[in-house]
Amino acid sequence: MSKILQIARREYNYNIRKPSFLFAAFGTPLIIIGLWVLLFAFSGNTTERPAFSRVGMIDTVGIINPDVAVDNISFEIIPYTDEASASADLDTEQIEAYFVLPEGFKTSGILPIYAYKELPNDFQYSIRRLILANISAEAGVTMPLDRILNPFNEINVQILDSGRTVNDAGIVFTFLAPFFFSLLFWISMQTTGNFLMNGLVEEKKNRIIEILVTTTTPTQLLMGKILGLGLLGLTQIGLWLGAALLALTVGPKIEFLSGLGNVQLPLELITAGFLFFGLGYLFNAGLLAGVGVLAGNEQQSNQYSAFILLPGYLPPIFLIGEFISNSNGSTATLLSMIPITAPFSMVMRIGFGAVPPEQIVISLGILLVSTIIVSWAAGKVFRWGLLLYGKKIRIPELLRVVTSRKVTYATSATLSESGKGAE
Amino acid sequence: MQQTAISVEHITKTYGTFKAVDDLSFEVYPGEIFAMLGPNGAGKSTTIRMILDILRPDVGNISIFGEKINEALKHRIGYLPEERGLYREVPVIEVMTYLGSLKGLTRPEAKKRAMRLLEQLELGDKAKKKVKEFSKGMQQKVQFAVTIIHEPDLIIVDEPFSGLDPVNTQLIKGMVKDLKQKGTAIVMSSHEMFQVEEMADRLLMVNRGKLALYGGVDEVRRRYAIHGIIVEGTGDWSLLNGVEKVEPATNSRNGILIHLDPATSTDTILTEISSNSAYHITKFEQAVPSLNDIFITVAGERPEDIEAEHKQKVSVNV
Repeated sequence: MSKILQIARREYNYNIRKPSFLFAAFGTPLIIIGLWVLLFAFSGNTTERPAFSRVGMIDTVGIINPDVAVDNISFEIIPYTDEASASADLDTEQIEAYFVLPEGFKTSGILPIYAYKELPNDFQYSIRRLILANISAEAGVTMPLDRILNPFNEINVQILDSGRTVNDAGIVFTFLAPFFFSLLFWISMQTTGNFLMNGLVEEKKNRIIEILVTTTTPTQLLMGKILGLGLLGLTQIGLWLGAALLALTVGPKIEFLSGLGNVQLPLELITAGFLFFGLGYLFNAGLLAGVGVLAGNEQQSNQYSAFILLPGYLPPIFLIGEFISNSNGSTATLLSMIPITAPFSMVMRIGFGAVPPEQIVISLGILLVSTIIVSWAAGKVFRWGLLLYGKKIRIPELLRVVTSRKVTYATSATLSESGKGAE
Repeated sequence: MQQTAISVEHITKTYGTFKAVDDLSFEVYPGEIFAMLGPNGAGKSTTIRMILDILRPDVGNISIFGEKINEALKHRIGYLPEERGLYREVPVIEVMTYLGSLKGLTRPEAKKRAMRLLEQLELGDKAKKKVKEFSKGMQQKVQFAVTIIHEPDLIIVDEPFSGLDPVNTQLIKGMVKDLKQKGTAIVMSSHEMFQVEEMADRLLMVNRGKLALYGGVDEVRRRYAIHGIIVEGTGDWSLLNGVEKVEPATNSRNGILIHLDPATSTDTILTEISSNSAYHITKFEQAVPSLNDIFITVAGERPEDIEAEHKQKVSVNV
């Protein structure tokens, strides 16, 4: 056990100082938070234009009834009978703008507005209220004007069985949060997976592996690496969750980030994240170690790593619409049952809605069994390939190793002379 | 009866149809330097890997200090492989501490010993430098230090002097001799026979996987001793009395090997040369065969020819 801990400690201490880790751990949340802040800053940064006090109106179709009282209009409306007098008053600045309800307005809806200055922000809103109030009065509608303009104020989505309620302002965040949450877990898994593969390549390239195999067993070596890098991944996620908590605590106090107050990261989502991505990490680490031990250089190991990891998150990302529109539909359910795509898919499903508990249990079970099988097979390949350098390995050869009863280290000599190494 | 550090009994290792090691048996004792000699591809590294349990013999038994190799025994062994390296991006002291801790030392103890060894190897002031900043020779010294950091009872060093300059070769040789004094069993494997023959107490010569020669170095030399002298100088050596044959000496650049008839002693021939003005000598020594010469006598072929054949075979396989 102490050797596993020593190896884990070395992997953790070595990789935590790597610039690529520091960038992934600190850079990623900083970039995400920075982009978020910029997005909100720019979206809220509309210029406040000066209000108008007097606006002219030529009603050629007789829609506007002076007896209809309309509140919340930010300027005085001066009626004119013809455009020429309105235009003259605009030129002498008696009024700041005028609009015309022309012939055929009721069908065309075209509303000419004349002004020398930019229209105030609430100009259109005031005109809309004026016209709508008059049309509804003429039609005998008694509903409050505000309700006609905006039939509902706020959506309250009850996510059944989950106990969560999402309001209108938080609905975008509600769907974004599980996605980003899954993505961050995935980035962490990918970072540590790459470290595992590149570390193996480095140890083989430096030939230090020759010393390690006479000091430890392949199992100790593999377990130490997976444990150390797993802890590194947890550190990364811890940092990100810390940053997220900070953003969620401080964000709502800043005006343009107030929407963050509606973001929810429920406990079940966090628990599912750790469970599924924890097992997913072990599943992928097994695959990566088994394949990484056969990589001849870093470039090759990165290719292998992409080949293994991309199928895990590309399908759920491309099919995110399916997850949002029907998180319990057949596509989302199927993806959350396949071990490779299960972590990303199931965590997103849990974030988007209520998943039947039996599906969570079945998915976890499949992932657990697959992880055990992968680790068992990877352990054999790992032992077999530790001392092989720059040899091209064929799939049938790997299958023979995996199905062999007993596996020993293969060397260039064993392969070149007989292709053996497994019995 | 003295306990053996290594006992190898009739081991054979076959790769397909190729016998890398063929019925090899030998023993290594504590407190001795044991040389494993032979050309590249002779089966030395395969034998070492079997001793270390990296490879398993098809036939035969190996025991270390009287036991089958196990995890606890691995802590009593130090191994310097032929294919070696260190973590390049890490300070030397950290690499040594880590590898020491894997050999069962506590981290503080491993660090303390690492520092002491670095001082001994004249690298004390460079402990915090990264491995990649070290020259090849310095890295080689660190490798050796890593091999002995846990004070093993048995060390196996494969080509220990490759890449070292003469000064550092002497330094490492000195440390190896110290370990021998302390009772450590030392196995040195090399294809450059002259490098280890001066240090070894006993030797095993392997050729094409088979035992070619095994025994004490002095005893082997006596067994294959030549009755003759090596001289450097001028004169027609074949005209001297008691000379059977004259040929260039293989282990001396300008030397001439003079084979004497059994009745002529070295004293007699020296007297004759020094009293005859037709001869002038700058060097005169007893002819002792090098292990290389002995190998040629035993194997019937030159080590370099076997190596060339092996290289050709490997390149075809790759």
